Amino acid sequence: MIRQGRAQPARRAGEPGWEITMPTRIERDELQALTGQGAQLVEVLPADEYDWAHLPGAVNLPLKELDAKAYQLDRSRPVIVYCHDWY
Amino acid sequence: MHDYASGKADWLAADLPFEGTAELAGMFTRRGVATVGEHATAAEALRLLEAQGFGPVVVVNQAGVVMGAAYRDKLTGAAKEAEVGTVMRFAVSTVRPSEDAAALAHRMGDRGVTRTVVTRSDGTLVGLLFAADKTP
Repeated sequence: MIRQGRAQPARRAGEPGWEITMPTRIERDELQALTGQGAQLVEVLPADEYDWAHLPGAVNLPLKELDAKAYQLDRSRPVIVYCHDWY
Repeated sequence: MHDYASGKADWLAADLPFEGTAELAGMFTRRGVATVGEHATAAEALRLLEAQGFGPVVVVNQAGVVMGAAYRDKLTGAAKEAEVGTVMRFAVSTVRPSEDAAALAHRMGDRGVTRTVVTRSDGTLVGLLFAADKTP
């Protein structure tokens, strides 16, 4: 998962100012605890699937656009990403 | 960064709130339906069923997990003091609240099924879904 060091959305992983963070797998109860503490929820499915149903408060950043739009997230708060399931 | 790997499917199957246009089985499920433990008497289950006005009475364990269902014909045919566990139907078909409601109602209609038990992914009871509650 790519995290932006500075607010420059045109840059890509591997370039100065970027770092790669491996996500930590969490379960439903941990998600509920983290969102209760202000974590951001990000659904990475396409927009039509997001429109059909998404977790309360989740924003939609489709996987193909995630690198380019990650700057929209608040770096000071934890981020939880999810898709449909793990299969 | 965290990854909720079980994803939306897990969330919706747990009968948790969501946002969006989906019409899921959980939205049409009758909640607060009559339940008994398997050691309740047939007379008590029948009383609950008649007070509710529809059946079956769902048989659950102490954790709220569905063990079976008790239907009117078996309850009326049983001795009043018989335990529900001896007359209930085991292994009842269940569906998740995350199923698409229209597709489920259609499948139920095809098979002549009027109602089904809705459970979360952990087996706990959500309620009863009647195909007629979704069918226009």
